[in-house]
Amino acid sequence: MSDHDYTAEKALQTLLRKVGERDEALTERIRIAIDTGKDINENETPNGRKQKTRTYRLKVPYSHKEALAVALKVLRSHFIELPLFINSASANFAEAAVGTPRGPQRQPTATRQVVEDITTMGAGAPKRLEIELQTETQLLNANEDVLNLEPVPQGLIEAERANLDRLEDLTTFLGA
Amino acid sequence: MATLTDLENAIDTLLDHPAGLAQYQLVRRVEDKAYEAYVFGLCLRAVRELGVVPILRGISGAPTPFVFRGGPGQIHSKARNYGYATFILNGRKFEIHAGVEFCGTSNMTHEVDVCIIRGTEAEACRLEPNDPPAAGLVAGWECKFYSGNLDKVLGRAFVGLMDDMGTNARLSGMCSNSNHPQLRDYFKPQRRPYPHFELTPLEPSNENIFVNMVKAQLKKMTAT
Repeated sequence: MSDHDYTAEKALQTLLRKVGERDEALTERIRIAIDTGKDINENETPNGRKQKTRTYRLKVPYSHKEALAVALKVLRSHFIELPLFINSASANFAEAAVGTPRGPQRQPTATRQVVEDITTMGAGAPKRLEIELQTETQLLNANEDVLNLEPVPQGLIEAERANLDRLEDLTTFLGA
Repeated sequence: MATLTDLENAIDTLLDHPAGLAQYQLVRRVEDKAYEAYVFGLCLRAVRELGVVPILRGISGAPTPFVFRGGPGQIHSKARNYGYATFILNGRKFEIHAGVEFCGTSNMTHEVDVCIIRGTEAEACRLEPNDPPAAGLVAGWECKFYSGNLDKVLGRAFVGLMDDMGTNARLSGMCSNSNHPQLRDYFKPQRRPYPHFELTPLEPSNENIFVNMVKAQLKKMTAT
């Protein structure tokens, strides 16, 4: 007896429709990942007795069950991994110190080395990380200048991971 | 038995969660750069584990905030107060940069997503504005956030880039949260970049491999 009253194909259609209703770009990413297909090793059956069995690479589409797993991997990358990257960066940057030049510096020359006079502080304190949106060579103005990489509370990530695990249970089909 | 309604509810819950679509839509424009920040952070960790506190710097002053370039840029650019990190190991200066362009051995310029560069070369290029030479590169990594399978062309391009960076670089690697079995094989020959695939906080052992490789090379380079 099946554990679901829907097929893998129906589950995939439902997932793509639901995501597409909210974010078409994300649906497109899922579609691209699915449409990549996969490589399998195909055996060529020998025609005559003397011929050896030959194995060759064959590119085939994913089954609906496999495509569901691929779709969930895409969602996991965006909803779980991406916040974890930001949090990991924030944690590692927090442990570094901030160097500030102590007043005007003498410039080194080709013949004269200058030991830079800087104060360092802030090791262990959170640092604000920003990513430039308006790049230096961009002629037209972007809507925003920079984006602040704000850490995501670990509890939120864990809750979302549980949501994803629940969805994985509902989209795992046993048997061939 | 799970019903279609159960499935629909589970999808809604996932998408509508604060860490779901809302968070994704906020950062998706910079996901590659966020991944670079993560790899940069792993370099900082490696330095720290060698017993040195890395120092965050800005091209025009204290890096508060620490700004990552949105696109390839020059090491001496003061368009913003771009951030980088410095550290001294056994008396030798090094810097960690993101998105900086180097001058390859062919004179073609190449952006290295995250790199460690000899401090003297970096300082010289800020003093007399220039692109750092390939010989100044200690370690370079290509960083790709991919939600599907990695694209083969990225691996081929990075092998070509590192080839043009000469033979001084001690370490190079392709970092991605994703994987590609054929690319893994492609990187196997000696002197090709190391495939740091599935490099993500979800795989701490892969993070440890990355950090330990950086530590080992820096130790080897600075051994007295």
